[in-house]
Amino acid sequence: MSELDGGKRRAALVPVFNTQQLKDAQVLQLNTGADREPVIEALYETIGDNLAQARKASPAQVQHVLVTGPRGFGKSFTTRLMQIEVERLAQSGEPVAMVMLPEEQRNIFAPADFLREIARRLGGSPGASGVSSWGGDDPTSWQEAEAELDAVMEKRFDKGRGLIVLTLENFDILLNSVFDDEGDQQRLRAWMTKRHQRIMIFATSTGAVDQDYTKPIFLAFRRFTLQPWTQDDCLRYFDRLRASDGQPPLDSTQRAKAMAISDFIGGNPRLARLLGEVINTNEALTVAETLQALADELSDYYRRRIDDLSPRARKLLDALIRGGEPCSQSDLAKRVGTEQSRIAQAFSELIAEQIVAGRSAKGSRAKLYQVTDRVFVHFYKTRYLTDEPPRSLLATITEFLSKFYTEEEFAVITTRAALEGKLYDFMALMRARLSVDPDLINGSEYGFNEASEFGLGLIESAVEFFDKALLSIRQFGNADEALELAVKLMEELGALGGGVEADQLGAEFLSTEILSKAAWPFAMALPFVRLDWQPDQLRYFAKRYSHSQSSSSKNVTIAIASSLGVADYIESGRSTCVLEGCPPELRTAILRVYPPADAPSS
Amino acid sequence: MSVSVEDHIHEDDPDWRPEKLAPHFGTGVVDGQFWPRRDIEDRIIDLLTETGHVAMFGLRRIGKTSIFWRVKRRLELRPNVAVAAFDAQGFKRPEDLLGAILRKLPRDGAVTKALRTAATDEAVPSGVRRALSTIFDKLVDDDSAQASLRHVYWATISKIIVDAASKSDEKLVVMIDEFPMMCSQMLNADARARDFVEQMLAQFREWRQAGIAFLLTGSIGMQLICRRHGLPQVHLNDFTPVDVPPLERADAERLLAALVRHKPPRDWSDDVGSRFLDACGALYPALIQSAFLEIKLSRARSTVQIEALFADTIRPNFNGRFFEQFDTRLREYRDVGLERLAKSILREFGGNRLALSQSEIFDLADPDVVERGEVEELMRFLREDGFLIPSYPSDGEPQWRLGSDFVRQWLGQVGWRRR
Repeated sequence: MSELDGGKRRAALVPVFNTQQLKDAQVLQLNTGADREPVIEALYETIGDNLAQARKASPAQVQHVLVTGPRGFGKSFTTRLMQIEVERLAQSGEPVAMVMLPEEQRNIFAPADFLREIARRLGGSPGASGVSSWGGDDPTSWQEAEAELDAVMEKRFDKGRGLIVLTLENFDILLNSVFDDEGDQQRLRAWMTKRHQRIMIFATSTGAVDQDYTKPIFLAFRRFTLQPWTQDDCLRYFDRLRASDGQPPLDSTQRAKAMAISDFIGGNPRLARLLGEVINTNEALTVAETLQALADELSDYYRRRIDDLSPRARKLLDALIRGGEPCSQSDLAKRVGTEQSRIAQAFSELIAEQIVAGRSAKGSRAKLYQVTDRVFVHFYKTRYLTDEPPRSLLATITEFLSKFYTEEEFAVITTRAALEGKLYDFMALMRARLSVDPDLINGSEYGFNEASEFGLGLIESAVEFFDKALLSIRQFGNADEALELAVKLMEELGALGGGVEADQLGAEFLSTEILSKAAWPFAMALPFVRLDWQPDQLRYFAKRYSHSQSSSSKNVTIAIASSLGVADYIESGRSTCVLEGCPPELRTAILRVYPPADAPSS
Repeated sequence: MSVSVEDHIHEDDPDWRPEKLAPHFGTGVVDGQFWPRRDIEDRIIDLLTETGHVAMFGLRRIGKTSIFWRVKRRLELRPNVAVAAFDAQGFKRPEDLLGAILRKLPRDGAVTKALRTAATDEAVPSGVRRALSTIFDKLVDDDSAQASLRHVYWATISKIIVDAASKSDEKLVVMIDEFPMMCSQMLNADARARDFVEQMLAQFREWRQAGIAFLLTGSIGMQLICRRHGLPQVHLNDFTPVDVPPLERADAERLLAALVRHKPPRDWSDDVGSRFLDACGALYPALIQSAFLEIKLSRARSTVQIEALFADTIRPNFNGRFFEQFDTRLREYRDVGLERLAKSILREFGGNRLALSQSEIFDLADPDVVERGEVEELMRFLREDGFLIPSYPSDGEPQWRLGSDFVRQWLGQVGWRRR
């Protein structure tokens, strides 16, 4: 069970985003994406051009449109925009209407049903009237259905001169189920291109369905590919979202968080919409829970993205995530035991599906690739690569956290996790924090990995982890936090029986610039007091640290001692041996605040 | 203001081109969306209205269907010419084709009149009369009627058509788009279809001999289909092949200018247009329009941006599809034992070689392995599939050139080109 498990709260954390439920004004307000503006403009223009033709007695060939993009990239949103545009045109008196078939056409069994369903919706007939006839897949049924549809069109507009924008979401599914037969697909194409056709298909699909030159609908559409959002797109979106809620634009901290989200989701607009809420929180718990809930919520979506891939592309994806990212193509080929040229096609598929993207490695011409949507990686790892639930929810999103929190926020939440005794959360946060500095990543990685064995009592590994943590402590600008953290670490280490190691670590802490100024043996010994060590041992540690300089800020020291529960320590009756090691001034100061019964007088 | 068909055609001005052109991509186009290919159209019309028959085969998306419909429109404007034109896509069975022909015959044409007369002629077998009545009355496919056509009555009806055509002054032109694809699908789906296809080809030959002109178009060739299925090629040897090469540069420039005039893209200039055409490679109208739509969308204007757009989007989506067609077509030659020789011939164009003479091609074939007749047959395959185009100098033997720059680009990236 994760330390941060908040299952009950999860459901409420992920907002529902259904474009069909959004009001027109909301859709228009949230319409974002610099690369998409020309696409939307061109789509409006295409509808306008088709409409101009449809008014004529002898219209030119209608331009059909296919919008492609991975799931979550805004195809339904784009469809919704077109719906609004068509309604606007219709309200201004233009002879145009939209027929929207359901997102998945499970009620269409044969090609003729397809035409009949369009006719039914266009004519406003009740759903009950659209029962599919038995064996309706013969040419006669198709022709009869076509004649029915023509008749409905004729009635719908004056002399039939108007445009129908027919939206077909998941067009690939319709093609593969209803029009899987070559002859049926040819009939579909013939219908699409027939003279005076006034029905414009506005189709969407995850992939290009018209690229196979042996198929009748080869390049039969003008295709628009939706690109991922850029960071600027995400920021603009969040600002618009806030504006719609009457909130001011993002401040600098929130912008940084929004950028972290943008990176993490790989420009996937759906995820940006779902993750917008976490910008407003500083609670790692909430962020982690939201992401976890999101991964749960989107598990079906991610499964389908995986299912959309060929088996070979799936294999490469698995190797990429399993073996660690980023990774070059040649290294990936090695992982799966082959040559780069042999994985090229399957790898291209991952790029074409916008699942992975490459960036140039530092000082090298080689490109390193990683999965763009990190929620997807989170989903994949937790579902397929982990035998048991992570001990900290945060451990699964360290990469995200590293970009999400500012230095100051990190200091606060890391210390808090340590003080609350949430070791695994602390480790995750430390890992996230260290990864901010790329130079620290490699050096720390081993230690952190080994530290995951902490619970197994592998002291040496744990020490190594703490050693890396030390690097982080050095980065603290605040002695109080550094000391608190050091104490916490030593305590944990000591709890595992690593007394000597804790001692060594303590010495290292004291050698740091920050702690040497504020350090004093009292606090350093505290963990061992808590661990109920014997006076001799405590004395030993006290002496070990007594050589360090006394604090230049007694008040700070005392405050730290207080926050660490010095009263408990003193009440333990074993304070004398520790206090003996303190510099006289400090000992006096402490005893003034906490006068114990057995404390030696100064 | 209404626009007549003639407004798009300008029969008397072969050099006429639309001032403005709305870009369209996806399917064959007609009327104001069509960019005239007058040299090709005129050649086809001349052949059809005199004594010839035309086979226009080649890759998909090079404009065959648009030319097909333009030729139909122009023929319909001629007096005394009747046209039955249709797309054979979706025809799964022979009866689909036969029904379509009957339905597409001009209502008031001589042949239709003869068939209508037959439909009520007591001397004609009742099954034929019933089948004809059903088709003419309902004007839709009728399975049982068409099945009868195929199995029992086709020969009778064919004879009526031949008799009517040979007695009439009217020129009947039968135009069938995607004819080879239809044959191929019928042949692959049903072994018994071979007899029908052979019978059909033979009867169409009789129709032609009776004066009915034929235009067959398709994205795959008929010659290879005949060879693979053992169909006699003699049924097709009166067809004149017509190629559809890319536009000449000057014509492509006029097309681009018309696209720009329709709705000028932001920040467009002549220089951008010139670089754009350079990047296109093969100047087919469909590619120019597709690329123009992309470039308009992307707002790429610098040389670097244009080249990046072509490299990342346009070539993979458009040229790449052509390359797949070449790969697939070439593989088909393997089944008839001619893939190796085809590669040897194409390899000769690997450098900057512009043309090969017929005799140079014969020299590439090992006479012990491939007979001279087979080499000639292969050259027909290569032509129908868009790999090569011949020219016939008045003072020498035929010269063979690559069908388009797409072929050269494709050759540049195939592995087998290196010996």
